Amino acid sequence: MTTPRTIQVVGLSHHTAPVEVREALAFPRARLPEALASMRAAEGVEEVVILSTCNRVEVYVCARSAQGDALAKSLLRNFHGLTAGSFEHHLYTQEGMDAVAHLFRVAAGLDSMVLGETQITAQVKAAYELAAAERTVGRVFHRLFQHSLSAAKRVRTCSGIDSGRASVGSVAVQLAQRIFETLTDRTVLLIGAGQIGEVVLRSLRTAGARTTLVANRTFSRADALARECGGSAVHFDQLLANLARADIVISSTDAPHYAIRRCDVEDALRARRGRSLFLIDIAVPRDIEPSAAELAGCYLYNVDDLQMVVEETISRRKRELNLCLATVDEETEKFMRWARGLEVAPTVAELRDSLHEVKRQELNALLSKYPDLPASARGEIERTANRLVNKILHLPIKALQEPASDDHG
Amino acid sequence: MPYLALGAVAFHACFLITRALQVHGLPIETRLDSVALFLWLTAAVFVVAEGPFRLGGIRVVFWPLFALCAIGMGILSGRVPMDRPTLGRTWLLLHLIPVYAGYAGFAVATGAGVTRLIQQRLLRGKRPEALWARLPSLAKLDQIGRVAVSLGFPLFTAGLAAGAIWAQRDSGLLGRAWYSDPKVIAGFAGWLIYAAVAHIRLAGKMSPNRAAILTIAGFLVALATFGVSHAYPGRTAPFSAPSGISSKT
Repeated sequence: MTTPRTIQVVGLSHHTAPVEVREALAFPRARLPEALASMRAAEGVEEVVILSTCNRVEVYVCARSAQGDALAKSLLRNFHGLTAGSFEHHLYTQEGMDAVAHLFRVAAGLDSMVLGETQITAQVKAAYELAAAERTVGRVFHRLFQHSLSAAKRVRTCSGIDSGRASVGSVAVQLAQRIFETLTDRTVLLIGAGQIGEVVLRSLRTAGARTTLVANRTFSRADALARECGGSAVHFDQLLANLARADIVISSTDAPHYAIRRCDVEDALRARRGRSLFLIDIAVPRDIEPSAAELAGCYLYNVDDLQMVVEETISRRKRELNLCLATVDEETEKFMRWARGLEVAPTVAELRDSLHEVKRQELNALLSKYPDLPASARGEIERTANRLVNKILHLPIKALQEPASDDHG
Repeated sequence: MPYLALGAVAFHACFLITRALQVHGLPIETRLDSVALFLWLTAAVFVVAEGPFRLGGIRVVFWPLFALCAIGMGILSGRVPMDRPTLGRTWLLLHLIPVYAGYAGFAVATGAGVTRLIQQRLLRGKRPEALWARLPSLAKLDQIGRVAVSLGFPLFTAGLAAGAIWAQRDSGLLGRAWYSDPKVIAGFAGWLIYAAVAHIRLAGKMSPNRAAILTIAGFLVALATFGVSHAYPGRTAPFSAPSGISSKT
């Protein structure tokens, strides 16, 4: 009798480990094939997938050994040259149905730092595809990972877990797109050198904004950032003259007074001949006179406005969480049913073969007593015997494939 | 895909075909027929243009507005029969279809204008993302308005010109002084408004928001001219279409 297969996951994530531990255990993309091969070579291990992102490192193992988790821990330790006991307390281990449910939650973004984010689904897919290419995936993990991707899709379709924007940068992009449609031919002006300002600028550039102007009281700082993002630096005293050139202005200076007053915005709008101006004031205290928001064609958002959209998204996603988890449970149950069927398949085949063998022997004995039976009668007897065997087999096979619920996991 | 709208347009087309079979020709026997044809054309233009011009976002504004106009126009029109034209039906088609298509463009531009005002209010009012994220961008709405007007206005002009030529050639239609007919004047007023809207929108000298308001106001005034054309029992079809269409007076 062979040892039954066990699905296990060993890993750590932003829930259990700080960034320095995650960094130390992350697998560089180029070395993943080596890690997969090393784990696959361990005794009893049949299938391996390694998911390594900035927020989590997880080793999924399908093994005919109860030592799958110990093997995964040993891989992490040896691969990264760490000492025993230096990281184990950050690790979590899940097995069987819990491991499956964990993967389904991860793939659907329900375990992510930003609840419902979709990037993780692509990362799970990439991890699976790499393992498949390295031939460390077999029948169970092909099914498991494909199921996790379809379950993630179902979770998103059934709920609004991925709707809305969950970061200040993405909210700014979404707002800009609702004003200008595309950002390709838009000019972004960044004033100051605040960290959030840079994050928002990068988000806008990723969304397609090509022309960037950077203004800073320290010109060299503006020049360095402008070079970094392929834009051009603007002298701070030329700021207002450049205001009309910009479609989107991100302001994040540490000035104690308004850097852009209402009349400056009014002049810029006049020069823009009615074209909209999107102002993002991330500075505290604020850089842009709030009453500028009253001007036609001016869309002024401060950091609280953007943060409010983010919080609204997060709270909406949290409300959807229970529905998503119920979907994950359903999908996990579906997979476990398939896995149990796979596990009992050899037993079912053995049972079926032995009963059919008994049937064959009994039929031979019976038919040898009546050699003159016409072929039609022989055929009818054989068909009846087949039906009888199949009916006898039905209940035990069903019982094997669907054990009582307290056996799960 | 707006299946419901598509189904409604198909259902409406069945009605028009039934009427066409009854009257053995274009179903414009009565003013209600004429209005039904106009409404069908507007809805069909929207449904056909929805995919290529990505009008999906203004659906939520367009259809309620359309339903209101349809009810209003249906009540106003009634089953007043129209006169038989002495010239051929070709002239009728050359006049009526472009005029109706022009108005359909005006209606789409108005839908885009109303949506723009709503979207701008949502964005400036910092309303929940769930609301503004569902509507198209302001730039897209301006583009829809511009394209609808720039396609609709030449059609409307061509339709009116065909009507004028028709009236001129068929002196029995509105009399020799056809240009002094109240419905012709109302139609011309509608054209002037449309021309002003088209000029301002295409010249791009007015702020997009004001242009949207002007488009809506222009469409409402143009609808009023429709009302005027019905207030005078005469021989012209709605929207200053030269009269004389019915065979049963």
